[in-house]
Amino acid sequence: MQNESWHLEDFVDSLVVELDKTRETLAVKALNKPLSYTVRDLSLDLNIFPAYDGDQVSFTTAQAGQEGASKVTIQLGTITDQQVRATSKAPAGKDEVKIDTIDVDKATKKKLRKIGVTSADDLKTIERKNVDIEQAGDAGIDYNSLANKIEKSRRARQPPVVKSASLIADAEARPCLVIKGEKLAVNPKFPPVALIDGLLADVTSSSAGELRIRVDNPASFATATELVMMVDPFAVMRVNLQQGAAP
Amino acid sequence: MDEAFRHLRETIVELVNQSPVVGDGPFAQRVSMTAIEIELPLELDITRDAAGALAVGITPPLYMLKTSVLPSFHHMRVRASLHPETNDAE
Repeated sequence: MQNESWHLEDFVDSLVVELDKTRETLAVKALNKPLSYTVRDLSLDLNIFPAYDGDQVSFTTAQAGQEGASKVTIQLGTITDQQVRATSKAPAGKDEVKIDTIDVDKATKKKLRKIGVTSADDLKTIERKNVDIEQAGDAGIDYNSLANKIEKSRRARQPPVVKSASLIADAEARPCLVIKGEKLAVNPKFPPVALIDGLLADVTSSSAGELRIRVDNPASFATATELVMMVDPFAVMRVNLQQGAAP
Repeated sequence: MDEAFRHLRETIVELVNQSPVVGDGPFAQRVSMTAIEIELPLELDITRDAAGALAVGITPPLYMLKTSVLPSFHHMRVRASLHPETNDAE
């Protein structure tokens, strides 16, 4: 008989799964028995030996002949879905950036988890309430660096896509390069920057689907021209353009 | 899991799988149990399956004899109530 050590979270998760399956079995029985019993609560008094490795507490159940065990009581009761919604955080959305997925050292992730921050949205909530996260957690959480890494991770999930480039005359009859695509300029706080063959160009308008760049010398597009666009600090695109015959 | 142990759910289902109305024939008195509370000592076997998930096996004391080395007895209390809740069990 193996006696595995376990963490409290794993053990309680297993109990909850067992109770859920119990409920499902009893629900099936209730189809043919209009009157039956349903489990309201479960309590377990365990004789265990706790151990702390500096990071987590693990428990080992006492075996035959072992003395000096500590006692842990775990009580599980039933809860309605309304109570769950009222007392729990909403499930994470697909677009939510989890702290575990970004390039942050383990110590920082652990400090953030201790203060209940598990996603970028949690950090925003703290920021909105004007809480100094460097004071709230242990010293050593660099919030600015963390915020940048979160933005970088978020941008990597939704990279910009260039679909077409065309040269037109704008409303003032001046040559203008129109870049169409998806998720181009999505950060309203960062005006896009463009370089044509290494020279700074004027971005006259920008949106998620289009960039308009004023061109001083449209003849330069007769040969291969390099266009570099920085639509936000974490999205830089390099495109080679050459004017060709219309299809 | 040791073969003497069963999953927690199997034990609990059997413990609460009682008839709510107990009587002796159609014309005798009947008893309706509105709630059951069961306490029992048990032995635990905690293992991990191939996927690494924790499996909790339990069994009431296996032996009636008091041996020189006793197993470690934990304690479980289960409370179940009648569903749907009604004052008239019939």
